[in-house]
Amino acid sequence: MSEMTSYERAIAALEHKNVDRFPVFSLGSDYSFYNAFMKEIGFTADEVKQYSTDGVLTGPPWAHAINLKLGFDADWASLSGQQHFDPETKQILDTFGGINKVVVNDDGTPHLWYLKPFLTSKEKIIEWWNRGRPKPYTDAMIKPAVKATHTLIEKYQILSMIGLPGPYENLHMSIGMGQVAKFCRKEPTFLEEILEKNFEVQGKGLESLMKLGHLPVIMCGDDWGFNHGLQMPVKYWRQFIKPIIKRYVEIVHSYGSKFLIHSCGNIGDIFPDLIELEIEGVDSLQPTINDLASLKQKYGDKLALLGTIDDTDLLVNGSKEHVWSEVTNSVKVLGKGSGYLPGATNTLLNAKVRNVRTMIEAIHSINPQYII
Amino acid sequence: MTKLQDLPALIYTMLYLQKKDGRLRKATENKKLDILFDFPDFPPAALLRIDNGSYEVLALENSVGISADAVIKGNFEDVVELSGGINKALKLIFTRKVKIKGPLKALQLLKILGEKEAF
Repeated sequence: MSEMTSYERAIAALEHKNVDRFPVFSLGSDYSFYNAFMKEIGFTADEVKQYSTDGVLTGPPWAHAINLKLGFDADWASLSGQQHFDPETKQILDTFGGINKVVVNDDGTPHLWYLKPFLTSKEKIIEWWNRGRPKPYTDAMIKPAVKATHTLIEKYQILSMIGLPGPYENLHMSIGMGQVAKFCRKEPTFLEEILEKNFEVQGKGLESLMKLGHLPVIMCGDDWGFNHGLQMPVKYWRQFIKPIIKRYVEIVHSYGSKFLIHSCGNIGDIFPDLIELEIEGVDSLQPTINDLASLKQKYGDKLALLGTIDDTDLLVNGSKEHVWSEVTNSVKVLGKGSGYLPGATNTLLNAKVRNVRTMIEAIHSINPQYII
Repeated sequence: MTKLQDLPALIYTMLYLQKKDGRLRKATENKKLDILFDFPDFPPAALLRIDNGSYEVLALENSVGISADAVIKGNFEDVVELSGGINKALKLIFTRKVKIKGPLKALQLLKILGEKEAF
């Protein structure tokens, strides 16, 4: 089989077609991994100039540039929404009502984290709406991300994806899981109203993204799972979250593009729903809490699998031999029939750079013809 | 342990990657620049001190009497909504919601942030 570009390889894998080698996917990386990368590999002055001129020194700490240098075939960055400030509590808030915090640790590493929900009562939620929030994505926010993604696809020929946060994350991060549980049972109409208000922003943002970008693949991040199953009962996920996801998918499909979902945790219970929604692929799939071989066997011909390589222990503590062995074993099982884009199961935080390189080399070392 | 948080941490983060990848050094060789960010609704104030390729950010509980090449002052509540783009930023300046003392020096920071080359 002739050599494919990273972009061709990733698209072919999502379409369950033959690939020359398995495409490696990156969800991104944070400042800790950036520091480790700069210490061990880094960018040359020429690379900095080139990436900077091309507008791809963007995303969470230059994750696109790191992904290019490490040899990933596909990557992702989530589009940030509007930010607000609450003068009373002196906190920075996202437009859906989650509190964010910026800190610099003693070692000089910055961290930007979600902290807790701000809309902790029904009154606060209604007041939030009365202040015109959540606010829409602006073209000024979307255009630079679209431009960088086009450059990554056209010039660097990797499959770069943009995503928006999904309905469940926005919901529980803004009002808290306690209220989500309460409203599911006691005030379902109000819960639907919250989801609808949020979707007004998300849906329009997605429409703008598609109109401005004509992007081939969108992946939304919406962590639904705990280690042992969904964070909300499946019946509530189906009642409240699934209909909104359906609308996300319909928008993306109406532009002829593919829709992928990222969700951490054990979400095997809703794989049939994901197929019914005609979602093309699902990311994360931590191998320690999901029966991946079984999911591949049951659903692998309809749903592409992304991630699957443990980022919490293997890529942090594993030896080179262990990483190589685990990764190649995964690829041999999950790569059958294509539809597989392996990579770390989450944003790279404290993973060792050498283990990430070993993961990429191991994935690329396997000839798919011998296992498909 | 936390060294900085809130506004000083935001200002620190703004230049962190430029410092790491060598662009700050390229943009500020033999240059010194002190900029005070003072948003009374979001204390403490942050003093950014750039000096020949390196920088530090000091958290100031009291900014009175602090000397700087430029001072950017206003309400953080207005500034944080700058995702509206450059037009929104200019509107804040023209309506005096954000006041800038030493605008030419403050523009140097934009030039530094836009530096494309590295040592």
